[in-house]
Amino acid sequence: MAKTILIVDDSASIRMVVKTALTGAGYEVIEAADGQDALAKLDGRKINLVISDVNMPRLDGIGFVRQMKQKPGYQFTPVIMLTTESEADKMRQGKEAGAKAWVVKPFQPAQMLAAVAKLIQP
Amino acid sequence: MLFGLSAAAALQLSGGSPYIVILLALGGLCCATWLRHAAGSGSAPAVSPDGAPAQAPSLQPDVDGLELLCGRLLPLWQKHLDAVRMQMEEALTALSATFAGLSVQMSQALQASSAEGGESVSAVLDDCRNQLHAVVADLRASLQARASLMDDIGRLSGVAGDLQSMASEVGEIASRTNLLALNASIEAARAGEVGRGFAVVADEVRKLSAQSAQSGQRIRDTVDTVGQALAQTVANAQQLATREHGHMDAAEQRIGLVLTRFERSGDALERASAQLREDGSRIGHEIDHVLVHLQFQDRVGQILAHVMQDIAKLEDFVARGAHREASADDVGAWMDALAATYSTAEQHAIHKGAATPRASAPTEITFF
Repeated sequence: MAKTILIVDDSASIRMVVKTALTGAGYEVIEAADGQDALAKLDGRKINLVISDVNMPRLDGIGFVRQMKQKPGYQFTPVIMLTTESEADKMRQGKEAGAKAWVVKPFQPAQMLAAVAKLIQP
Repeated sequence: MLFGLSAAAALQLSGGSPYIVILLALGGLCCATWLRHAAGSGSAPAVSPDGAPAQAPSLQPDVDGLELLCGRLLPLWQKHLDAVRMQMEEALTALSATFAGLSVQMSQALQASSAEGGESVSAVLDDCRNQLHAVVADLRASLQARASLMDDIGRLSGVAGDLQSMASEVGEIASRTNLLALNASIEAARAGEVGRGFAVVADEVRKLSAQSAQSGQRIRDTVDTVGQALAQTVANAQQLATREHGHMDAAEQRIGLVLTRFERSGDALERASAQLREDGSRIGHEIDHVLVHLQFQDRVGQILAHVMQDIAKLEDFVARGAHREASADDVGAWMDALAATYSTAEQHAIHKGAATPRASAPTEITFF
């Protein structure tokens, strides 16, 4: 059974690039346009991995990850932060929120797939 | 002063889009001219990269006019910038979707090509050659078996000769029996009344010998017919075998020619197929490269958003009349607040006075 990955990004083109890479590798993908939208998608369904932007309207990526980790069933869901942010302080915040990896845009799709494969068994 | 600073910062931040650069440059020029005119001075005060004025502001511009200009110009800038941001996002999302679709199609085509190319054309041809040669070998074996059958039939011709001599012997015996029966009839007639019964027996023997002679003759005729038929059959079979051997040789030669032609075409096909796979792989990588570059939209979108926020802040600042009492500390605080909104390394570099840097290249992933 294919693993399911939640992509959270307010940029539709970024979601498109990530989704293409992941579906091409056999993953199932759910999309959310911001942190608030992503929380609404965590309705008990099994999510194997989350790839989230940091700067988003309504609820940013760090806040979303913090809230997600409070939800039953999602405490141990691995998170990759995919962002334009490269400041050490932001990375520290992401790590403290529970992220497992930090990817600065632009990214190579193959690089992203390698990171995903490292965090979940394909 | 603040107006000019914000426009200059926005100009630096706008980076990639010529439309934004022109828009903001015109705005900055307009404001600088306005301030120079209002101050009655030939030059605007110098400003350091971090926004602190080189000397205390001594301007007393026509603030009412400036407020009027800002009140009309700044919202217009925001709308233009928003239009740029939205148009760029829509266009690049469509472009990303197109290239993503191409990437998927290319990947699927390459996978299908690799699956079909699992058995190469030359391997298929080798298999065909082996199977066709096996068919030819089977046909030759059949011809050989029929030749053996014909040899057996030829030997039957010899048997027919034996049967012919046996039939001749039967005819000879019948002739001699007839002669004996005739002599017995003569002797029975000479014996008179006593030999009458023997004369009847002799007559019957003579009749049987005549029938035996006829049977011998029929056997000879039949054996002759069979012998001729066998000889004709063997001759026909030999002619047929000769023709079939010729056909087999011709077929084998044609199979060889056809396979050679296929082999040449197959080699060309295989080279073309390999070239196609190589080109497809290269194009796939180039599409992936395009998809990487298209991600600049996200960075540009964020930079534009920050500029728009700052313009809105300036609009509010001027509308409230706060600029009338703005000090060098206020300018510094403004610049710090702007810096706190940055999300890209380019924004931080520009803020620190660096020349407009190129967009970042893909970086390594940091694992926690």
